[in-house]
Amino acid sequence: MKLLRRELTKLFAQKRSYVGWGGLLAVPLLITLAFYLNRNNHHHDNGPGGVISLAFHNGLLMPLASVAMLSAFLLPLLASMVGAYQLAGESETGTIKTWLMHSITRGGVLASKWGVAVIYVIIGLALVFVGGLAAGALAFGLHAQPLLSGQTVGVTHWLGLSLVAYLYVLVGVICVLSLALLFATVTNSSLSAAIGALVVFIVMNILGAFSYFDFLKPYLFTSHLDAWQSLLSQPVAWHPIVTGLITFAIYIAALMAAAWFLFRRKDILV
Amino acid sequence: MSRRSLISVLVVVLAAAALAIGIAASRAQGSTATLPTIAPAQLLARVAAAQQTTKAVSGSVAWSNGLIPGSDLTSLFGGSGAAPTSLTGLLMGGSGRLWIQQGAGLRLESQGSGSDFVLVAGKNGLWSYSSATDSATQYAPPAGAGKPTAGASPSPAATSVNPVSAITKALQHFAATGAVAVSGQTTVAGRQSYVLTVTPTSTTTTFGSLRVAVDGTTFVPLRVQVFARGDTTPTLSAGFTSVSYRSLAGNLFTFTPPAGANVRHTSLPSPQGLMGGAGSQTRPAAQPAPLTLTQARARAAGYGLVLTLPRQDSLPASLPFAGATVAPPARGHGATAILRYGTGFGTVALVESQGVTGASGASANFQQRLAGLPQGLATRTTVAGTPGYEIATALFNVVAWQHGKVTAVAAGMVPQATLQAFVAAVS
Amino acid sequence: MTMTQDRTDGLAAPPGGAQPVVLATYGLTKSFGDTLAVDHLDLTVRRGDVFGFLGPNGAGKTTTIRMIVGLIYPTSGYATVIDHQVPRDKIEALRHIGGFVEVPAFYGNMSARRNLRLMGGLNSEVDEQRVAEVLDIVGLSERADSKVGDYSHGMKQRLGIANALINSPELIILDEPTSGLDPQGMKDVRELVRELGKDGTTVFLSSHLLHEVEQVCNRAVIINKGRVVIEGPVSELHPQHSSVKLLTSDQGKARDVVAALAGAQQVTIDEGYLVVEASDGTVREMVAELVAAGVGVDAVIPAREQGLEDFFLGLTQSSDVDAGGAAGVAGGAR
Repeated sequence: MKLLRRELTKLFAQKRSYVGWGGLLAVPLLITLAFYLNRNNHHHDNGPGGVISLAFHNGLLMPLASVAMLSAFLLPLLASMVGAYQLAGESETGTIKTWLMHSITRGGVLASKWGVAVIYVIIGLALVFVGGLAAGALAFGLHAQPLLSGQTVGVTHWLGLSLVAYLYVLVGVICVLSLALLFATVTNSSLSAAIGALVVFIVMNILGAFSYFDFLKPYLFTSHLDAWQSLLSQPVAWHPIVTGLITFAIYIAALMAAAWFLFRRKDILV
Repeated sequence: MSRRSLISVLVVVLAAAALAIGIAASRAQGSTATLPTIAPAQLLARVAAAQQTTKAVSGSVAWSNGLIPGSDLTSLFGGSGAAPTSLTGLLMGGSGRLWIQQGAGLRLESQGSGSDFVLVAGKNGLWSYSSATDSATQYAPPAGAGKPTAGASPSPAATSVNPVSAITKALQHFAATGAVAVSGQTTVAGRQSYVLTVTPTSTTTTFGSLRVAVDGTTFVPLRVQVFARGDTTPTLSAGFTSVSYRSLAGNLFTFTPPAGANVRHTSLPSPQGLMGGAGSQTRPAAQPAPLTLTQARARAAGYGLVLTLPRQDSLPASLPFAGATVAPPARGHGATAILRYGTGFGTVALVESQGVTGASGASANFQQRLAGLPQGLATRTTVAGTPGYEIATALFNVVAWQHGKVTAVAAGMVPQATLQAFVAAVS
Repeated sequence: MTMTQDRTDGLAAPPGGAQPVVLATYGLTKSFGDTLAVDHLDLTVRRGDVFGFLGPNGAGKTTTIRMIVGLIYPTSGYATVIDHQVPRDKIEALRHIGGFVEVPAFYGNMSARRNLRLMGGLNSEVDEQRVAEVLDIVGLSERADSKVGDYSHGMKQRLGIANALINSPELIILDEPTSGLDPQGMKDVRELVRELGKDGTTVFLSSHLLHEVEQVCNRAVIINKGRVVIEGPVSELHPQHSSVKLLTSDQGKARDVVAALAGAQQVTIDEGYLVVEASDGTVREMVAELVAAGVGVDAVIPAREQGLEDFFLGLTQSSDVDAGGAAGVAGGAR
């Protein structure tokens, strides 16, 4: 739609977009550098580091290691900032008035802002993927690698799995983005909206860490963010991934429906 | 303005409610129709027969071990904790997937965040693999369990580790020693299931009940829970959280270690080897004809083992002498005498074993065993002036100590007080 | 006595000769919490009007405009723009509107040309030529490619007008377009608005400066505290009688002479001047009588401007007590 095209024009014209992308790209490059410098004195460790430590020998796993590290905090941070800024930033500069005095629907405005934020995240993730793969290939080379369940598979197989993992994380991150956009419909400060979304994200993480709140776990989208790791076993456990995607979809739909409802009736006073 | 904020709050609450309902609906599974009533004996028969009709069982599993105190807090931002890296780690509890195909083998995958621990039993033997340490281990059957058959289909190791058939056998065994009842119906892994409860006849045991959930349609056991007497939550639990009976591909049950992995070959620990640590008296002595006290003492003396026996008058009333076995010295350990007191689940086993090397060697062995146990499990104690340790769990208690070259272990599914009284009678 | 027009449904078919209604509000009301910002506002703007929306700061002008363009939702009442109701048919109504509310806002990191291209094509297709055209009209052609962030306030206002014009809408709404401008800038904008009026575009202009409205508009409504005080043609917004200040050799005698005249009202002495409410024709008569009476006339100063400002202030202040009520104002039905 023509609104989306205009939003994209704005996106590429802004310096801050490139700052964010640059920051994202720096992560896999820095990780690769750190791993490369440390390649002789590391030890295997369990836990979330498990996937990351695999990348010590094989550049093929650098994209996955990067996304594992990023999806914990940095990626949600960036997503909530982008989501919040898209809408609340227009209130801050006053340009939302200029848009809304044209013959366009509020729903269209919201949808195009959601769309451009999603595209922003897609570009960011693509940069991380390609940057991580390139840096990893240079540092450690790409070779066949056993899966977590012990079977050895080739480079293309891993690349395919990485791609699916990235798509999965993308949908998860869109949840944070949508939450930030929802907050941006009720406040005119992009900082407040971004912080609000981030606080919700952190609280959900904390709740999911205590077994006391186990009954809540399936309802928190943050508990599904890691489910892509079940791609790394053979046979692939699709159930947690499908469950995760369904949960994400429900969250995104509910959040954006609420945002649409609130934005439609909002008084623009900036 | 406040009306506007009220509407905003209402919208957010409605969205959250819609969210919760949506997620709950997407997770809803299984039917809730009630099953026809069935007598316990009938149910047991159907369970035994199921081994012929259902050849494949697979699904997500979860198991927990409440014997060992563990931490509640799992890592932040990282999802569940790490997968175990060894067989003993597996016993601590976990979740993952299980595939069983009769005649082909078994595959258990314990999942942690970022790493897996895989156990595969099949045509090429029993293997475990930990992705975190990139090490694969092949297990030979325990010493004395029969010739390991490499290449024969299916190897003894494969069927001997089939948990479903093991549960079925155990149920039939328990039906003889305790009261078996069909205590109700429940939903396990989305399947409407019968709950078979086994309660021991002994009133002095810590073993409360064994509950097995059996699929009402296929009569495959889906979940096993062990309750300590007086508890409402299970101490031990293992079961499917989702299950499927589709036949499974053969390549699930073969394992090839990945290139570059550390490969080890070891053998499964034997029952005798486990006696130094936690013990379970439900494993009856394989030897025929239990000996009397005098016979036992005499035979043990013949191997150079001096037995210290509990004084008849100080023995707790619930623990009369029930029989003894004496095993000759073998590789790795000296002569061992196992004396049983009490009946059924309330049995206490007293195991006295001669250390192979000198006194210092034996106590070093002892300390080693102590160090090998999980933290917090064993507490130090003193028995008759000599240092020892005791393990107290909800289901069983163990006291171990040394006198001279002999290591003595008293263990049983009895309350701690009873066991301590028994130990007092020995020393 | 209220001076607002009666509203009947028959206005859709204008009585013979009058232009069709382009913008009308019906009981437009907005309250924020306990504050009533706009109170049952009714006004009518016809095609070709350069309509002044006049009131002191805080009168509710911007709030009303926001409601007309659908930026905020009325508590009650509605507006119509060329038969499309706002807020119900807001999207259709906005197709016919161009303009800005408060300070025109653009993207500071892009040039004026790019900004116009970005916003221009939303209502209808706009090509490069049209962009260049409107930039030329507002006099921004030279600086069209520099970043808007570097623009002065006046240039931003002009860009706002360019943005308003770009789709050639039927109704242009300008919210205090001369605010913050230097005198030359103000002059330029007013000239522009007059030109627009001549071309037949309907302009709705809000301002707090009476003389600006007088210079530029043909009809106006004065509001205060969210309510209409008076509405009508600009020429009729001020008393038909004008004041004249007289300086004579004998103020006392002059007063008696003037007071006796039929066409003169309100003779007062103010700061040494004799202030007489009199129409233009009467002034000549006054001078002749004074001379005939032997009073030397030193100065005859039209006090029209001052009177009007006072009148405006008076109107807005007295409307606190009672809506309208100033002397000699013709409201009249249209």
